[in-house]
Amino acid sequence: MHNLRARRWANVAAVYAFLLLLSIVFMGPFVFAFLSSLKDNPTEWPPSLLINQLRPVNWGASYRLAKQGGGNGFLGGMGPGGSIEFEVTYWTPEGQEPAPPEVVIPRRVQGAPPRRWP
Amino acid sequence: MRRASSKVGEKLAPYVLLAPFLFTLIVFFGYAFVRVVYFSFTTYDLFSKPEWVGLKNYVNIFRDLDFTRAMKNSLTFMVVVTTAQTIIALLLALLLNQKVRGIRFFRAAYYMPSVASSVVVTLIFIWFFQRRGVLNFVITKFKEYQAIILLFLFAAAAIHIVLVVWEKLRRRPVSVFEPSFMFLGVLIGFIVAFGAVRFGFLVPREVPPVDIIWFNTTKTWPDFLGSLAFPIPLGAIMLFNIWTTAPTFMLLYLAGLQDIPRELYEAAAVDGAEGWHIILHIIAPQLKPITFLVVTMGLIGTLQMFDQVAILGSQAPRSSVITLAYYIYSNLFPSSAVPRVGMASAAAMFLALLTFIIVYAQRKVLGEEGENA
Repeated sequence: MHNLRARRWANVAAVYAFLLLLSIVFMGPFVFAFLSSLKDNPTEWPPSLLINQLRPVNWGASYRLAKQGGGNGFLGGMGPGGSIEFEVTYWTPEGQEPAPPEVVIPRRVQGAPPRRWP
Repeated sequence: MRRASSKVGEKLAPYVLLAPFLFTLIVFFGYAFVRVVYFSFTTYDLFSKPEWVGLKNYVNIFRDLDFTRAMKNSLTFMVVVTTAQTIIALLLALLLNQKVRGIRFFRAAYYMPSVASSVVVTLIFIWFFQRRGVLNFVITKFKEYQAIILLFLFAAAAIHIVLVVWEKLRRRPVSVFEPSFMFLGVLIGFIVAFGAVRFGFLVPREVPPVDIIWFNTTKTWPDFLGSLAFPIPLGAIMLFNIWTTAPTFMLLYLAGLQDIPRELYEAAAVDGAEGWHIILHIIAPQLKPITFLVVTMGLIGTLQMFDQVAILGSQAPRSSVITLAYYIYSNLFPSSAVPRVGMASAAAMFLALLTFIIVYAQRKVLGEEGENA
């Protein structure tokens, strides 16, 4: 009796496993296309299911930066006198001393049009 | 008098009700058909007057290399896609005919490719089939993990066979495809493969990214078929055409399966039939009218295949993907040449005749039950 019940559950599990596997075949391309539509570069190689825009860590980081820059975590922007954290990771050839990067944010004069960067 | 007028009204009523449909049929189908028949015997370029040339267009289409390629591509497409989509649709319907919780979700999920617009689906697939696309990535990964996948499959099959043989030796009734044994086999196979990787017996191979050109190529496949081999871009179109059409036919088969009387299954069970016997002797004969419908719709649909080739456009060489319907369109609306309406009409007439002959032959092959469909 116990054996029969176990086999019945295993049968149900096999059917569900098969159904789920085929769901990937029929739904997979749509899901992948949708997720890729959120990426900066949908044709990246190798393709990945990790979407930076969907990672809560990045939401938190962007909220913090927006808060530091403009005082409003949701709307962002850069206000005068704001101080924001700047983190960068870069590679240098082996044996070469990494030079600390320097970032210059041009000072805006009131009324001047925003500078267009190349 | 009143009785006579009411009789006339009664007789006229069906024609009045049918009039809008008859009008559409006569103007857009009947008149158009007669015009196409006439144009097929003329040279006409949409600008000057048509000139009668007799059967010249019918002779010329067979001298046109594009037409013979289109015919070969269309026939290959018809045979491969109709066969594959019919078998896959039946298997999907059998799977989705289970009485398990949440089956409606799976039915809706599987039907998605048929609901989506063919433009959307084609664009997704063009993106998938790029040289640096998802499909080549999946094949690369398969090559990387080939040994591990083979170990998993071997272990799963071995466990399954051992369990079935063990049960048979104990004289217990068990199907060769017992799902619970399959599940157990897959589970143990996964553990074996995972263990082999975890303890360093097997490691993924380093392979360069697979670089199959799916669209921009004139290569054919499979090589051993010689002149019967089909162009690789046409194969790619076949793949995603099967993916979009199989769910539609699955729905027809599912409706047919649910119409089979329960008593037939019960009687078969009493007689000791199970598994393949039920499929071959109960389900297949009962679904014959549905199969007739599915195959007929499949043949007509595949012979008229146009949209996916048109959307693919210049992504693939014309000779590799051209079908009869696209040949007709490209003669009627060439990108930088004078329209050849006569040739297009002759090809259209040939396609109509070919479709008629194939569907008629199929009706003869499927027999009397099919004719009731």
